[in-house]
Amino acid sequence: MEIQAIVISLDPAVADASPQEAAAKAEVDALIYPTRNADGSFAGTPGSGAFRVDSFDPGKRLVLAANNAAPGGRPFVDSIEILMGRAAQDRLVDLELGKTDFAEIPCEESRKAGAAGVRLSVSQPDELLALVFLAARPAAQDAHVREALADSIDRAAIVNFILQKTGEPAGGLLPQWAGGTAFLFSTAADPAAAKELWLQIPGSPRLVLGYDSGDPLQQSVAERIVVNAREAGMSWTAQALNATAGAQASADVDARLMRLRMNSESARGALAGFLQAISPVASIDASALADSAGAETVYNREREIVASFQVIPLVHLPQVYGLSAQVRDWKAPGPGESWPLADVWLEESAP
Amino acid sequence: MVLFWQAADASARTSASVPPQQTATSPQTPISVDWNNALHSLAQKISADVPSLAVSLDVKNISSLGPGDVANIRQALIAEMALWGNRVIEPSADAPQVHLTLSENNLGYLWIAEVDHGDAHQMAMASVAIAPPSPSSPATPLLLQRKIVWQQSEPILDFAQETLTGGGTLWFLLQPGRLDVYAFAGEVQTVHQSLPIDAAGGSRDPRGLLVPGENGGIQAYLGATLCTGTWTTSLDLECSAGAGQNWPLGAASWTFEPSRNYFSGVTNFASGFSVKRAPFYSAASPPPELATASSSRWILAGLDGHARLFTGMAEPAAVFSNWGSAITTLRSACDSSWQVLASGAGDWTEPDSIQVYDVAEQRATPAGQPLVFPGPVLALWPATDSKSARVVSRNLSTGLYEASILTIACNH
Repeated sequence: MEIQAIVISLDPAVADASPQEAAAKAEVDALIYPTRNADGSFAGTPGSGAFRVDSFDPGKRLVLAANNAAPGGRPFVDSIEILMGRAAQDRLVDLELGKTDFAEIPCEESRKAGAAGVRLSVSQPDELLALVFLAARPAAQDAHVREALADSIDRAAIVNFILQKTGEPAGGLLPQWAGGTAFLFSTAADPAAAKELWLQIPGSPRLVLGYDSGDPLQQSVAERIVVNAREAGMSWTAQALNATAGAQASADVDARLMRLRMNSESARGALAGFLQAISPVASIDASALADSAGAETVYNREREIVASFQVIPLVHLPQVYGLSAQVRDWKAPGPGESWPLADVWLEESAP
Repeated sequence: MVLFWQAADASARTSASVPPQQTATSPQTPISVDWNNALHSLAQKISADVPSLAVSLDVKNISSLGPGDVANIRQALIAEMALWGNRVIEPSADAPQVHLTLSENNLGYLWIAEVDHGDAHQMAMASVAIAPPSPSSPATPLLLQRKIVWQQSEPILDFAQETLTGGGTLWFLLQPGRLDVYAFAGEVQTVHQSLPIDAAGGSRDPRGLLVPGENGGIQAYLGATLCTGTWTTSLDLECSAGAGQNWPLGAASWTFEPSRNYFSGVTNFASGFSVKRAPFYSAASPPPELATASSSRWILAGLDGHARLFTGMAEPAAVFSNWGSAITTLRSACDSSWQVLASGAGDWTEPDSIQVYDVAEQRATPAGQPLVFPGPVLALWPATDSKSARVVSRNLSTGLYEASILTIACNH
């Protein structure tokens, strides 16, 4: 039989330990390890999963070969060729020219990709982009500062203009499809209330909003938030952070943007994951909810966090993938799942 | 969990025969016990917030519930609230307001009652599981009939039913890694065995075949493993790895690729003669009375999404496009042509269909309307007598695997 190889265009050559690099490594690990632990780490011998590493040219190209003895059966395709160091624009071009079978597409580029005829797969919105106040900074101690900023943010504009309508404004931490209670949280901006609160704050402090320097979406959103805040009379500026330096990258930063992927389909599990990720940065209660916690308990905890304004939910984002016309049986992975590339197959284009 | 259902009605029905669901689907339908319990709980909580007061009620639906269900739920909540002393009146400035939102998450429905009374704002929630949707009625009369005989949450590779000479019925369900056997005396289940089959190193998309024998005997092909079962009061199963690579189907056997989900292309005939063609997923040949002496006519469903008709030559006599990977032959009493069933060309993420084709000369002509399945067709095998076919499919709405029998009725 003719060899069927999936070609993937992967993330740009970003610095080690960046979120993008870590996410890409996890996807590759999921293909070569047989087992994934509950904490997201991998177990077993590399190469005893669905695929094994056939060749590796660091930073450029990785080829995985199907493992005939893979748990759950041999993958349908014979190999996966991963082209590394492909920026978002390169990945789109690869898809348009048929040079790749699969690539991640940034949410803000998905409308453009669709218009260019790229076949898209869009997941449920399972990623939260939120603004988090840093616990050590004075702004985190002043509820009026936090609430004023929350009131000033025009989430609809972020979704409509920056994300080109890919995503949903988020008033709560959990998306509607997972929690069923998102509609109970307001997403509307209230600049008048923001102005009124700001006037009650003595000294009109100058505040800094940090964003991941390697994330164009975060940069656009941070700049938009700064515009909203200034329109409400507040003095905020945006500052790029080195993603690899962690939350405390700059002593000047009062709040920062964070991307939070749901690690579970359950509302309780996803909320616990969010709080665990936020707690090293913000002053919030990250204690676990009981396994038996129902919808009302989950909502009450979520409401408590949101009402504190230590975390300001902004938008819920889907994962967007571009696929070649030959890819079949692709199913967008759910929260906590990896790319199901061992289960897809390629349709031959001619008899 | 195994869900067993044998349809009692074998008449000309084309849609699933499944147990009745407790689902409210129209204003005339009473709501289910689960729904009523949830509304009872909500009414109790509302009463705790505004005891014995007249209240206004508005209902907003942001879930997948239909208008009939929403109307039923509103009426049922009003009745439950009355039991707790809360009468529903027209909205007024003084009356407490109850806002019921029918929401939904990935676990089911979530009904949220918000109670505004003066400056107080209270909230109560009730979670309700979503019942599996009822099957839709057949839209048009079809020649191809489907009878669901088994549903379960775990994958089914093949199934077989045998009637024992001393009375009783055996059901065999071949699944990845095991063979389940159920014995019934009338409608009473007397035996359930789950016998493991070691098919290590098998395919990601495992395939299997059951070949019934005499009086409860069975042969199970799973990948390259052959298991032979003999029935006394229970099933004794002996398996041999590597002995089952040639799957018997009709007058020939096909060589299966154990680590894949297709046949190698080698067809072995009883005479010892064998033919090598391109690998294929499934094949169909005319039933014996229509076959030529050499049984040279075969349609092979290839790996490239095309089915090819071979008439004894190395090159195909015809190529049929847009056929799926599952094909088989079914003999009907309608006419004397060779009829082939073929699944649709979709993948496992979408509904599927099976179409009957009349094959004559080098043409395959669709006969009747395709029979639509609410999910992918996973296996399609001919019955021993060629008068019916076994089909395994997955219902994407319920997530259940369904074993069905297909027959063709003449639409005179």
